[in-house]
Amino acid sequence: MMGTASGGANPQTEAPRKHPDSASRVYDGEAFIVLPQSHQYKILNQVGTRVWELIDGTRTVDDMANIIASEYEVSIETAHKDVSDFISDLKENGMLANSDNGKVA
Amino acid sequence: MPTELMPGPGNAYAELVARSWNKSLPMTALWEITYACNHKCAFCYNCPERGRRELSKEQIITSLSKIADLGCVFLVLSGGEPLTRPDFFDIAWASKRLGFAIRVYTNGYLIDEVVARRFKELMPFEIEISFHGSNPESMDKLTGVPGSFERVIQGIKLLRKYDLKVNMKCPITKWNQGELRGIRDLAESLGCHAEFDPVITPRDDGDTSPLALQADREFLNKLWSPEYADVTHEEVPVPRNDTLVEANCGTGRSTLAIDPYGNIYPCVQWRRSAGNITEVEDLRALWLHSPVLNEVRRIAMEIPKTTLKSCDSGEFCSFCPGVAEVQTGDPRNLYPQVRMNAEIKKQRHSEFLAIQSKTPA
Repeated sequence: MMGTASGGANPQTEAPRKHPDSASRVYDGEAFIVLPQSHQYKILNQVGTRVWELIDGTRTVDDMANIIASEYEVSIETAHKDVSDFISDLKENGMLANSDNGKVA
Repeated sequence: MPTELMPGPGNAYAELVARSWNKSLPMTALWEITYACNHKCAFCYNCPERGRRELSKEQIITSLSKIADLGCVFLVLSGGEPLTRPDFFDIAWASKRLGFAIRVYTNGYLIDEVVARRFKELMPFEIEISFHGSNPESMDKLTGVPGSFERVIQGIKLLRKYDLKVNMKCPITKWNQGELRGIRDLAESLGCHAEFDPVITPRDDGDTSPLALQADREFLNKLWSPEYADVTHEEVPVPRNDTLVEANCGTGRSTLAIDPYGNIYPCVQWRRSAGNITEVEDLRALWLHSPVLNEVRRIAMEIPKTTLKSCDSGEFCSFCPGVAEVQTGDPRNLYPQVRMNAEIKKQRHSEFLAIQSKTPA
């Protein structure tokens, strides 16, 4: 799974985007995310919050993994796996925009 | 490492809310964007100032970023009836673009197919609709508008057709106190949740005439008993827990309230203005350091140790300092309706404990 998000997306080109209906704020370093489409709340831990902040529709999974590796002093391999797994979780929870033209728009 | 998604709401959510309260950093802002209303509810607390101009769309939209900077994630668009503003969806979309999760408090009367579709596009977190009876006669009597029952039901059906979350909120009055189960069943048949509120408040100018509509004592005795557990979801009234948050309530902490003129209040009930949203430059500094809000928070912290301690049924008081101030002139004074509810709840609680102690293990 290292470096590969679910659904076979390419970590070098996949640039996830937050679900357009989601709303979020960061409180005490933890992102509180409201999902109107599923009537749910989610709370992320500090590292998950950092990834959530990095998701902007332009950064790829690779880009984010590199940033996490440098900021949290973990290996590139570990960061790639964790960021990819995390992005998969976000998708499964309906927190990211749907695919568009072969990319996660 | 990064994956620690926690389904909410749960303990993490409760802890987050408690931290936000204790730091006085509100997660919610409630904005009454107009006092105009197409219903004439007999118990309405709003008091428009005759001839005073409400904020324009531009003034509201310009000010929204201040609320976002304060850190609020929920924005409640309320009224009056917010949908009477022709620019309602412009304001709502501007809010959405600033990253708010939107709640709308409406009477539902103006929701037709076009409006329902616009709500579907907007995708608010939830829409709360005031609802007052299980049949046209009682509902229309309370709203003062013939045909309101049918129109609002139709509006709810349209919202539900688009899978929008709708809560039906019902203030309990002596006119509808016998219909709570009918209202709940109606809500369930529409795919909605019904919420009942036994508290009727004076008008914001101190006029206590709405209190004449309060549910009567005989009914409240039943409401807080197991007989109504299917409606209240409580077998027995639960005493207050003042250990998590050191204040009577969330005033000045949990929800910033703004009226149609831009006045900033510590909550929707306590109308002590701390400033005007159109004039304040640093809302966060105002919210955290305003002498008005500091006093409100100080009083709210005193109340559990003073007002509630002095009341025989204090642990069952749902005390509102805003109501106390408008009704008695002092936010620390007990007022008759809170005392009556607390006495009944305490009695019901004692009866429950007595029955439990006699029941063999």
